Amino acid sequence: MIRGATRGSPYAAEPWYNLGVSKARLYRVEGIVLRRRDHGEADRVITLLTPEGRVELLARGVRKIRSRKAGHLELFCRTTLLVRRAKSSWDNISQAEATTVRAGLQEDFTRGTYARYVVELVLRFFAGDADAALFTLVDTTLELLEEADDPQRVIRWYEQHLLILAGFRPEWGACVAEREGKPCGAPLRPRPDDRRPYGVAPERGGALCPDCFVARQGEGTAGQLSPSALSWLQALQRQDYESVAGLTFPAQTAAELTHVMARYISYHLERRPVVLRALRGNRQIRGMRNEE
Amino acid sequence: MSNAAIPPAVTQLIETLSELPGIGPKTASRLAFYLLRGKSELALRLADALHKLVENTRFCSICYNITEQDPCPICADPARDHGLICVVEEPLALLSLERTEQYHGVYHVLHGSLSPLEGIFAEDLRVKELEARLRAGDVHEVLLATNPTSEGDYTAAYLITRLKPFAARLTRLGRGLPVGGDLEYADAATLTRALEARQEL
Ligand SMILES: [Zn+2]
Ligand SMILES: [Zn+2]
Repeated sequence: MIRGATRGSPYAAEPWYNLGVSKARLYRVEGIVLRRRDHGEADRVITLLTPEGRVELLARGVRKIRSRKAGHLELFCRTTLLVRRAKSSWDNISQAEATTVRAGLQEDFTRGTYARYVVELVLRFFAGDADAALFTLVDTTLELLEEADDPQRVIRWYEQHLLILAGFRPEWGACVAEREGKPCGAPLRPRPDDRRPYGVAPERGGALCPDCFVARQGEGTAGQLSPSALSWLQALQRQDYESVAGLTFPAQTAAELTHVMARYISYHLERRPVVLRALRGNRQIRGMRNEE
Repeated sequence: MSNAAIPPAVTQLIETLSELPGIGPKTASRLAFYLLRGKSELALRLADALHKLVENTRFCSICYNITEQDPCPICADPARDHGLICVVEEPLALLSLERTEQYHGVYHVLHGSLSPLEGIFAEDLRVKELEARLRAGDVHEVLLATNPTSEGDYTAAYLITRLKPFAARLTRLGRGLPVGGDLEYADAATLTRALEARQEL
């Protein structure tokens, strides 16, 4: 106020500092709805992933059936918001306009569960300091999940790329074991006619050559990795999704990769992701195709 | 609120009240001091009502609605169609549907929606009990009336995969309902239209 008074005329129709404040009170933000929870009488708190990071915002009255915002704040929506800054609590969503609704993730149980798993990994691996690359990865993955004929393959691709962004890039190209104090580093070139299995060692951050796998087997933590699974991990990590989409994803390898990645991710998170349990409980159901 | 000037009994009431949904510490203090202010009779009536709530209410052993008698009046009513089960997330949604006076079947209350991100799985809801009702036979239609929200749609999608083998007919409350809201807030006219416009799954 004092600075304002010295810099501009106190009698000006619209003082410069008021202009500044009114502009800053409303802002526009685009993001993906990751999570929501009920709050108060009819409100929801929305967790939004934006290219600049993760934010929590308050959506007032959206549980009322007549709310005009509600349909634009559903899970996995990509939505543009007009937000009012609040001093003491969450900033307030005053308008919402979804650009992508992702209906395919709302009404399909398997795809819906995978989409929730996508969110779970974002929430667990990132404290909120997101970047544009994470936003793009999540947006692409949700889009692929909605359309791809094999959503499980999309998820395996997503895991590889999320781990890279989270700083836990698995090494699938060279043996990560140490022998007699020296790194092995043998290049891994799995072939279908390989007789001996490779290994995976989450605590060392990658795969083991057959020799090192045999040598470490007694230590307990290393798991077996088939040549087919290893070459899939290499391809999923190296390629964009379009390139791997054309390859056949054999059921047995799919099951192995589910298991290997669950172990790998649990190790680095220091806890097991929980969302995919929803699919497991459902496996007995006739006609369902789930390998989780 | 840990103020030496406030007696522990009041602090405890304030803390307990603020555990209720939609009540922050500020509202809780206001309510607590309102109850204290002379009208002790209101506090006693409230205490009595809460006591009765805990003592006299239970879940209906058939539909899991909240009731004073088991089975609940709806499940015990011979005039209702017991072969038509409407599945709702919460008792409040059931109340909204009853208010339309257009629904003559029975209910099943799940007590929540499937939300694996929040750690809520099918075994945390009354799904097994619903499946048992269908297995017992004589159910000709299951009307899924979960909320028209992401969570409600996801729960319905799960129920479809799980109940398909048992239910003769699975329907979903009409899409005339705007997306994103909770059924408990829907007015009778909107719900009546949604009931009439229910869709085959
Ligand atoms: Zn090696
Ligand atoms: Zn009942």
